[in-house]
Amino acid sequence: MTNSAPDRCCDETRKNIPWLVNGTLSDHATATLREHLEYCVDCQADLQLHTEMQASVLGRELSPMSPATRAEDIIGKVDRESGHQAVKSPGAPRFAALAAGIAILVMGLFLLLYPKDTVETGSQTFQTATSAGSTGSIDYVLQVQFEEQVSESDRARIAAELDGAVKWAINDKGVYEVHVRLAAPSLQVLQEYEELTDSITGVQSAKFTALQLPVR
Amino acid sequence: MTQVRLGNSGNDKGAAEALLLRRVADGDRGAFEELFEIYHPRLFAFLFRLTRSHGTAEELANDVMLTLWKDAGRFRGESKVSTWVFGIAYRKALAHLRKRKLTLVSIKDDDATVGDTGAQFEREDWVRQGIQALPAKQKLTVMLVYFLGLSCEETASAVGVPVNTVKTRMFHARKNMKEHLIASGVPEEWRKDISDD
Repeated sequence: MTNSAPDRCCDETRKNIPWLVNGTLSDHATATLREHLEYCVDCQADLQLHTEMQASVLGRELSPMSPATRAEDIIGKVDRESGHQAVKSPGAPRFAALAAGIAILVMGLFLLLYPKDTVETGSQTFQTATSAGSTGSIDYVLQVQFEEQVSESDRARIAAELDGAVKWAINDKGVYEVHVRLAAPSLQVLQEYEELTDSITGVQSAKFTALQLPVR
Repeated sequence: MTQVRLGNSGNDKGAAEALLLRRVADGDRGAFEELFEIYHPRLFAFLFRLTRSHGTAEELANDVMLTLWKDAGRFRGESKVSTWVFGIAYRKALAHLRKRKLTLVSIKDDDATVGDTGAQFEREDWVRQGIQALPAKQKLTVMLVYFLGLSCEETASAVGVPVNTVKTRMFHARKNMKEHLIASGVPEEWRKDISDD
């Protein structure tokens, strides 16, 4: 450790600073870090910046009005969409009904917002989002590879969480894919979208590939 | 300044919430209402800070509670209930940011521009702008650590990544913040506090 250029030990120590700031660092680690901070000016500067970041996150933001939603609204929504006044009971049928209800809602909203074309490729049929005035739009296949240990049921659930409004298919390599039509997004936007998808638990990688699909 | 603290709940409170969640898994609406009262305001506050939209924050918070109602049986008790709930919120927020990337393109702060003069800005404004400009994963991690007050281990559990990944994200968030402050033309007297790596 040094009071000028930070060495490897200093780097490891300074990585604990955020949790010193939020008060969740263990007593032992807190003592070690505080001792280090007494003579390390670099880490002192880090501590100040992290403290300011915390203050910024916690303070001087707009205080929104509390939402009006109640618990019964959430349950009632599920009941209405599943078509019956359900008394929740354990078991697969309940989940299937709830999932169907949510899927109908999501699809309904999506259909409301976007007109649809049907696209066929091989034996799979996909629905693509075709925004109004789609001149200049590009067709892509988005492929999502899951980590090996993720079960089939979890893969389907995660895909639905990624975007339940589109129809996912599984190709012969076990990769989830969906064809979409996008209004010429920039490469950076696509890369950021892929990166955010990569970071979802269970997802190993996500990749857009441009293609042209026959549209009927 | 009140921090929403979830990380230091006592064992009794954690056990009580786990019991509530088990009752929800069995279809107990009263238990769901209790969990709703505990978590919906926190979720809304967290998501509002993240999205800056009342409507979007409420929609996402409702979506998290809906998932909690549907998937309560999936909770295996390997983490605190709060960590599990905010893990769901993290994924929903990520999904929202992903969609916004392709529709609205930018997540930049609208009410302050880089070209503004320092005279109109306090340092806190620059820091707030810098947080908004962070890459989504770093921004979400900063929110989990500083707004919710999660420990490093709890953050890792909520996000589903190793502890070292969380530390690295916070490290890079700080580094990006420093670069943002310098690039934004923060007055010289403010920069002296910012050390080089």
